[in-house]
Amino acid sequence: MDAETNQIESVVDDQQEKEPVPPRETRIKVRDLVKVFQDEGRGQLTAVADVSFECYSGEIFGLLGTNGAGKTTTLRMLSTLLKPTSGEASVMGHEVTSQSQQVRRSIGYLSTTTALYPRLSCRETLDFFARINGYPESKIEERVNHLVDRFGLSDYADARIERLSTGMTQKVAIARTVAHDPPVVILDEPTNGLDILNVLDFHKLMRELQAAGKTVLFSTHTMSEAEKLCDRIAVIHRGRILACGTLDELRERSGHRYLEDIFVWLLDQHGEEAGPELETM
Amino acid sequence: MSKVLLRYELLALLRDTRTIFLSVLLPIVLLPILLYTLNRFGQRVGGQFDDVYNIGRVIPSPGLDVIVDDALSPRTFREMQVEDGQAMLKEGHLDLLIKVLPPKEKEPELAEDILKMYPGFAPLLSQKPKGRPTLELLYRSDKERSVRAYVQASRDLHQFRDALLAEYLRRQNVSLGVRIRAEDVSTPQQRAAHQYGPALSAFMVLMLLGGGSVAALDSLAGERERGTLSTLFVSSISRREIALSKFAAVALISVAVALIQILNLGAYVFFGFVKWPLNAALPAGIGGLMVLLTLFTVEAIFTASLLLYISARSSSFKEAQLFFFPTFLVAFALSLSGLMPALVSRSVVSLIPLSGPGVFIPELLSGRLDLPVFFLQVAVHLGFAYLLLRSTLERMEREDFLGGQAPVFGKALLFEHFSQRTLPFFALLCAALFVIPSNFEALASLQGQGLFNQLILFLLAPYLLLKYYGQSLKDVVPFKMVDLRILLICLLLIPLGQLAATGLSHLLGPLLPAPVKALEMMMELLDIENTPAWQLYLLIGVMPGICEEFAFRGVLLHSLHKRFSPWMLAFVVALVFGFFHVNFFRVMPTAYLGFIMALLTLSTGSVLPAMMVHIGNNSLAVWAMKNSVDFEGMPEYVYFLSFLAQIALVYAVMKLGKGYPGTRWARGKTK
Repeated sequence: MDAETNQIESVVDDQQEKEPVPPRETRIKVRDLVKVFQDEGRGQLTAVADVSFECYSGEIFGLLGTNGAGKTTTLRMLSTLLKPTSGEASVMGHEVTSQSQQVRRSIGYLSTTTALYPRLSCRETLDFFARINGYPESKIEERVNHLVDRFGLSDYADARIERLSTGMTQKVAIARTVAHDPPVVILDEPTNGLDILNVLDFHKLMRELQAAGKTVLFSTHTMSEAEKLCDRIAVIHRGRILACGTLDELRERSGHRYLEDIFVWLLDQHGEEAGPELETM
Repeated sequence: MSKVLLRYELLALLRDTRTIFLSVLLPIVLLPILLYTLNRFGQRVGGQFDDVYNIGRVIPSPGLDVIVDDALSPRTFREMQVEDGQAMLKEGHLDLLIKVLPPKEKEPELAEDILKMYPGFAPLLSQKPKGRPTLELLYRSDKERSVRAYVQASRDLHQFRDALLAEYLRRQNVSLGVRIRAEDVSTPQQRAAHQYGPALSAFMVLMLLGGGSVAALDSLAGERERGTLSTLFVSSISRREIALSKFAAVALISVAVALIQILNLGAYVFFGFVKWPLNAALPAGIGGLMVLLTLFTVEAIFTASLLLYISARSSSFKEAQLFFFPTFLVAFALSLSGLMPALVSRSVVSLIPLSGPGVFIPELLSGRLDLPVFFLQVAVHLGFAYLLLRSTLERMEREDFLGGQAPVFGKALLFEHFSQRTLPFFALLCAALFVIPSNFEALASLQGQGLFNQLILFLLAPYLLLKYYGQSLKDVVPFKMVDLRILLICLLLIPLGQLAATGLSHLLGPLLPAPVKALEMMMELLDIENTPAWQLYLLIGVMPGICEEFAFRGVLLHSLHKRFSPWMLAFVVALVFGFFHVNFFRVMPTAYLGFIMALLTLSTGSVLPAMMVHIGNNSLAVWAMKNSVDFEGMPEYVYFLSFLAQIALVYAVMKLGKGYPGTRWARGKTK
């Protein structure tokens, strides 16, 4: 067993190590999801229109689109922060509208709008989020220690968040997201603002999560990141999914090798222009 | 409530240096300064100073030196050698300058005045009265010491002169008529309660608001701004648990800070830095103390929910601070209700949070424990706290709470603003109703009050409000013809309503007695004997029936019809209507009638039946007063049967009516 595998095992708890996750279990199911905002100045604004996709266990699923394409709105609906106007969405079999609490217990959600308590230390932050998300009390200390080690936070474990650098804070934020060891991790543009080393470290973490059988749903507008990480990609533009599949499937369908070209080809196919977009929701 | 969240909330709040500095350290430093200033102010008002004042005397002042020497104690007044007394007074070296003016020739006016008042003095004044010299006291009103010296010297000299005069008259065998002697029969406890009781309540409110403010404003508004609230919202605890945990944290911090400041105050008193005879005004026994602590606790619960609501309304910490400042001023002003003369706790004041304890606590400290009022105030505070918490939670559950798009736009948005602003607007109207007529002589009469209250407050002001928010008059005040049977029922409801409300007054009599003075004032205002009948019917019957229905069952009811269920809506409108009837003993009967009229409007979708009942009811009351018909003295079962008949008739209207558009009672939607 090499060093990387050791690290992969350290991010999941003992229980999960003993019970391997069955392959291809559907963890996220989205059917005809619509979100319409009503705006005083602009009238009705459809941010997400008839979006459908599924995500499986042990899969990294990317939502790829430009700014304002509807990625954040979709993820916010899945994390129960927004209510869908119509359509269905479920996480781990729980409906996002009627079983929101169970959904939130099953996910770890990270976005640019989620922040940490500046006056808590790293250790307290991880302890707090593990507890409120219902992680077994007897295992919390062990879990926190695991995460502190995994994310290289040992030297700063008792330092308050407000005294950490941006990179360290982001590490704690990610550790917070998986503190309760959720089966589904939803990440909204997680590498925005990170330097290259932190981005690489983050990519490694995603691989670890995937290897541990977690479902990772993340949004990005960086084509290379999607190419590198995703098992499957959904290209979203102006609230609609233009295509969904593995990179090879998209290549085959478009006849282009690179995702950038595939993206432009898809816009052409759907009569869309890569012009000014809607604001991020 | 999530204990984990509460624990971490408290941890984060206690680590916030702003909380510690603003809520704990700053008051500790400021409190003695505040108390010193209050003490000085109190002494100034009461003239209780131990200072020695510098006085000068313009020499010579023959014949008066003895008086001045005897009247003014050297322990209080130190005489200085002066050459130019006016200059010394101007420069501040002297506090008071005494000057003698020569006597006038005679004082015939004085003699005449004395004879008018005391004819027995005639023998003494038969001779021409001699003139007498004038003792002039020169002082500076811009110097506090100088004013105090003047007040003290003037008092001493007058006492001395009166004693001389009395002695002279006694020697002349002139009777002085009655002897006037005053004696304060209040106990030291009662005096201390009267003097410091109102301050105690205000002090607690000050501490609770100050202590909880930083914590509460940061707890939702600050966290929303920083993004930590989003993080919490995607955790597995519900928003209700989040709201309750944050509320508990704010309430605990408020109480803790208040306790620290009480201990702080106690320490200053204990070590003699400040004088505050609280010990003379502590409530008797454990029971009294428990009542006091319970009141403080419910005040803490109310202020915590108020602060949290402000925080939930604000999108940033800065905005929350902007909201906090006026809220703080209003809350503090309410807590000073104990300073209002002649206000008793058995009045409408007990229905106002923070104001009730302001009046109740001085009464409690003076030894009077009114348990029904105490329980009422507890219920009022908890009730308002519950409503505020519910509103906070409703805000937190809104989709746009964390930012994003407005949920409504256009006309719907205008209506939402209209709906949100109406209750505060009516609170302002209520304040205007209390303050304006009583402060303008022109409005002191029945006619003045009738015209101002009805035309300006209940007709013009709500009309301007609905126009400002672009609402249609036709929608807001639906004046539509209704089924003839409903109108007939309304005619029957007029006497029944009068009887049922009278029965309710009887029922509430022991709890909320009608003060005789208030009744006398009301009768004096109405002046039944001298006011022409047409004016009485117009000002008391017709105008309130139209204008008040326009305001309450029209504008207020319509603005809230999407926020509450019909029953709750009728209750809220009735309560607001009751509050406008100034005297506490009138609140419940008028609220009851308001409830019936709100039900009529909601059942029929028109204000016409309510107007009809209102005009009829008030006119019937005028007729009864004019003709000395008394509804009070009937057998109790008459009231009870009237009440039952009224319920049956209102039920019939609910069945016959088309319902209020946009509510569950609208025809077609009623099951």
